[in-house]
Formats: sequence, structure tokens, C-alpha cells
Amino acid sequence: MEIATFQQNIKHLLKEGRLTAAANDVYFKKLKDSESLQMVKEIALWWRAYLLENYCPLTAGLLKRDHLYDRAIASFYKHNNVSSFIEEAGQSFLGYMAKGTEGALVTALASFELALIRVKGGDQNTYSVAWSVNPYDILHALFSEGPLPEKDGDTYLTTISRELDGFFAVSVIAYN
Amino acid sequence: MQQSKCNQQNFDLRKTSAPSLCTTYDAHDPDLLAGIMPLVEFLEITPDSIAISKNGKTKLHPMILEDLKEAASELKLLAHGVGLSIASFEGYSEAYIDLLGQLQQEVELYWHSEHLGYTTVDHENLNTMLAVPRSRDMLDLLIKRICEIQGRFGIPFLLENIVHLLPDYHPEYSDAEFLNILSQETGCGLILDLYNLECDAFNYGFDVSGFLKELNMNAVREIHLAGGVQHKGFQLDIHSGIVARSTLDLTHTVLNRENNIEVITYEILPQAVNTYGHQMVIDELGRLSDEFNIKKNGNSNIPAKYQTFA
Repeated sequence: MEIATFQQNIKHLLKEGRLTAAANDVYFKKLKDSESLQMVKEIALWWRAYLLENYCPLTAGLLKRDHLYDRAIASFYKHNNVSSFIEEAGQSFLGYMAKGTEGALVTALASFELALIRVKGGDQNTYSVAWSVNPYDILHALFSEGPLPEKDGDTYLTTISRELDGFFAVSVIAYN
Repeated sequence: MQQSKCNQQNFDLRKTSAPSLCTTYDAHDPDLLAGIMPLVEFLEITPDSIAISKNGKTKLHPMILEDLKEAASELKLLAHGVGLSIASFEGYSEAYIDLLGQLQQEVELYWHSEHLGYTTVDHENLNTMLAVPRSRDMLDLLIKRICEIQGRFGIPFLLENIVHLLPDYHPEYSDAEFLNILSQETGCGLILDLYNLECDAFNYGFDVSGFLKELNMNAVREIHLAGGVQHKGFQLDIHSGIVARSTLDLTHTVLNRENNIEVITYEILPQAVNTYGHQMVIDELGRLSDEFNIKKNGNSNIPAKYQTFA
């Protein structure tokens, strides 16, 4: 088997969990359900999870509370060609989480954390993120590992900018 | 002395003095540097780990670079990459080569090295490193690339054996035979990671003794030592702890043969240093110095700010 075909078959097994049509070699059929392949996948997932958790602790913390973190990481890596550099991988992950697949709160928090990372890194843009719960209460709950707040019916807006003390401000844009 | 296909001279066996000690330095951590400088002659730097990426451009972390420039007045520096992906069919990583070039412009490197494996396929990052199929095609691909890389940097280039978590694919050569051909045909050096060999022995019964008997020791310039963990029946190559007694014994076995080994490197992840603290690394380097009777050649040139622990 050519080197390219061999490596592409391995990549398909790792990313998709399935064999390509070309992988009719008994080696790949045995490998597909092997403990060793599962271990390689697990190690890769563990590394990704560890690095991303350090890069974006807020979003990772929220996902972990709901036992969604590993699934979110696996989905992100399956559907994206992710950089090996954490700054690029981390921002790409937050962008993926901001698309809304894991619910409104994860979307808001990931958008907020991504904007915060960008402006702290020198981005001159101003970002706005809408929330259906008080963002301060969410941040407090994440830092204190306390219970997440209930919705109070108000709509909040975070503005994220280098011009602001602490890089962000919260306002209420619609009252219950 | 034989000439390789890369016009590199192959290493002749020469009995050197006792090897020197080396350890990992991959984070801006001046206190750690102060602690380890009196104990080691070399620092191992992973260019990928000290790089930051911004706006699509990758550059070396300026504070770590400053640490290295200061340390270079006393220590020799070894670059040890993880992102070259030398065996990817589509080609090795030019981004890594660029980083290594940046590092070489800033500090003098004694040699540079990589793992004999691949981390990308079709330019997609696998987030793991896999061992290569040991075929003639793979040898030809690697030999050409090693020659290119050696020509590019003008310093010795070493390749390291990695763990084989996946079973071998119809191997045409034994592990040792494959490494012997690579080093013979390119003049590249080898890093012998003894903990990785132990992982392979634990995970699938790899014959370490047979491998060492067959391996041409002329090209082995460096030994890697590390501690790891067992998980779900596998011994894992995670540099997370102290070196096991069995790994130390294996090191003695290797050192008792005629060899060219100049460096013994204790590898530890920055994350493990954060967990266990600096003293664990310092104590472990002290233990390794005693174990292998390694004496550092004085410390008179250590910058004053790093002499705290001397």
C-alpha cells in the first residue's frame, strides 16, 4: 500500500471512526475495533481537552458542568482542521461553540470569551454579546463553582472593548 | 569514516567521557531555570512549545527567548521538535522549519532533533504522533528529507524512536534495522528514548534486549528518560513524573556498551512541573547525576541571577 493511502486510512479511522473504501486490508479491519486505536483516540482527545480548558476556562467550565465538554471537543475536531497552535485552535473552538449547537448560554459565553481574548490581545474592535441571564451571575457561578442562575426575564448586553476598564461592561437592554 | 548519501560523515564509534545532563525548558519560568542551571550542561527546547501564533504568523515567545539567551552563556541548547511531521506523505511542516530557523537565528544550537513519526495527514493535524510503517518506500522518503533538513541547518540532526501504540503495518525491517539504515544512509544521529522502549515492551511485548543488540550504537548521541503512567492497560508516553528504576537500569545497560552518547535528557512536561513544583525537577536531576556519576563542569559562568540554587 502506498504511504499516502496508508496514512489517509489511518486519518479516516481516527477522525471518522470508519474505513475508507480503499482500506480493504485485513490490518485496517482489525485496527478499527482495536483497543490500541481507542487509546490513540483517547490520548488525542485528552490533550485537546486539556489544552483548550487552559485556553478558554469559562466556556470549558460551563460545558463540563453539563458533561458536554468531551462531546463538544470531539465534534469540533471531527468537523474542523484544527491548528496545532493553541491560540489558533482555542479561538477556532470558541467560534465553533458560538454557533449555537450547545444552547444559548454556551453561545453567549463562548462569544464573550472569544471577544475578551481578542481585545486583551490587542484587537481594537468593540464587540457586543446578548445574554438571557445576568453575565455577572454566570461568571460568579463559574468562578465559585456555585449553582447557575435562573433566567430572570431580562436581556443583558456585554460590550467588550480595549477602551473599557476590565475590558467589558454589562448593561440591561430589555427588562422583564 | 564512511560518507553518507547526504554527504554527511557517519559517526565513528568513539568512547567519550561521561555524558552530560539535560532537561526540558519549555515555559517562561526563571525560578525553574535558576534551579536547574547548576545541574545540567544542556537545555532541551521544543520550538513548537515556545511559539505563539497571532494573526496567522507564528513566532517564538519573546520572554522565553530572553531566558534562553541568558542561559546560553553557560549551557548548550538542543532543539527538539514535535511538529516537523517528517514522515507525512504530503511533506514535512514548513511552519516548523520556519520556527527552527527563527530559533537558530537567535541562539546557537548544538544540534536539533525530531521524532520519527507523523502528526499530520493531508495537512490535517491528528493531535497525536504515530510511528511510521517500516518499508523501503518510507526509507526513501525519509532519507531524502533528512538530507534536505541537514543541508538547511548545518548542524547535526537526530531522530528519536517513538512509542508504537498502533500495531506495525507489514514491516519489511525490524525497528533497529530501520534506524540503522536511516543513520547509515544519511549520517543523522539517533536519540534513544528508553522509556518509549519500555512502553512498547509493556504494551505489546517488544523485545528491548534484541533491539538494543541489533542497534548500531555509533549513531546514538542522546538518551531520553522520562516517567509516565499506566492507563487502561497501556503504558503511556506522558512525561509526567520521575524516572522508574527499570528505566535507570536499562540506561546502565546501554551506557555499559561502547557508545557515542553525549547527553542524557530528563524530559518533563511544563504541566507536570506546575503540578509537582520546581523542587521535584531539581531533586530528580540530582538523583540522575548521582545515578550516572555525572559531574557538571563548574558553574562560574552562571549569570548571577541564576545562582540562587548553585
